[in-house]
Amino acid sequence: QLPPAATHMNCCCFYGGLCDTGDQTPFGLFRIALVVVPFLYVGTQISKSFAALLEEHDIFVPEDDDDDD
Amino acid sequence: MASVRIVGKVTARLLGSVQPLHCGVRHTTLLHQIQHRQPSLGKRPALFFSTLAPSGDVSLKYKYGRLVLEAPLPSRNEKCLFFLRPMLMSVGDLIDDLQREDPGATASVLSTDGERVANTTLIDALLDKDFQLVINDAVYNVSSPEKVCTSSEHARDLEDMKHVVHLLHTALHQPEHHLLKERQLLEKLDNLQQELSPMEKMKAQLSRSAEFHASRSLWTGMAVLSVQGGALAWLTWWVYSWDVMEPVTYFITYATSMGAFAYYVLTKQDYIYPDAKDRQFLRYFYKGASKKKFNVTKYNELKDELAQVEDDLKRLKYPTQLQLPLEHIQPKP
Repeated sequence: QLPPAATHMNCCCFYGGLCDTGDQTPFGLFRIALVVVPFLYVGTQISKSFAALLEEHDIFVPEDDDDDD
Repeated sequence: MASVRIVGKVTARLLGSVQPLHCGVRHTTLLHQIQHRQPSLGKRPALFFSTLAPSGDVSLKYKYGRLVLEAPLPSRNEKCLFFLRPMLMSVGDLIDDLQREDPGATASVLSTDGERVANTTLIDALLDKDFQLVINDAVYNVSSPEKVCTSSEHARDLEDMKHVVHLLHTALHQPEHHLLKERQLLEKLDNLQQELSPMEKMKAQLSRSAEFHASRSLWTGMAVLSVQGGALAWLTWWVYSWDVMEPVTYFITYATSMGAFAYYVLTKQDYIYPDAKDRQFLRYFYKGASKKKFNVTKYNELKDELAQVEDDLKRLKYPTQLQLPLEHIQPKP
């Protein structure tokens, strides 16, 4: 019989003991940020050049409705 | 001299056979005399009975696990229950009990062929077949009841002799055999470990590189997601508006879900991150193994054999070290 709090969780073993903590990546969030931010910037650059390409070849030009009243 | 002794023996025997006839008359008490005056019901025909005849049936059955014999007693015209203990009582004990209950009754036990059963026979042996119970010339056929608890004893024959000889042989030779087996298994264990140790090194190396490649795939996935996020964010807020971009984002999401289903169609596995990473790991492992000429099948076989040998040695620990009987082989999970 598991303890009542543990019946729906995956943190207790069969007899009520606690499982080991999972894999821990050192400096995890820092490494994530290290990958995400540059590639985010890369994404913006790609989209900028893509939009310029579309406008240049007249494939898709958006209407400029900047002022909404 | 001898003839005198023989004559003496014969006369003693003759007197011994004659005496019981007189004993019945001389040594009876008043009660016995009264009981003897009642007509012995077995001899008279039914017309002359003044009281009900006892239902002439002897039943033998198990009641609540105990063997019960229900027999009609001639002198008292009633049935009496005798609780028998099959393993302890003999036929002679039963006859004595009957005669103690009813001194006017002379009982004897015959087989179904009419042969007399000896008094020293245990009731347990008697119950193997049906038998006849004779009380004062009334013959009752008794059928043996179904056995409630059967003992494992059966008639001795050649099979039992062989079995006993086999048991003796086992008892004398088994410890030696176990020690011999243990030595053989230890040798085999040594050989296997020797063969496995270079393969283990190679496997560890391949595992490390495969793990590195799989992990690299994950971080690459992270980077691709960031690129997609950045591009769409730029297009939505700086170039076009959301009204333009919304259908684009919808179709990108739809393509992603199609991709996840395609993953299932191709690999027959659900697109779950841990399983997908394990799949990548295996892919890189096998690639590296084929490059370094590492025989995965042979490695797996050696590992299985090693597990089997270790399991057998663990089982042998019981008889050789703990003096306990050998454990059964457990089914593999």
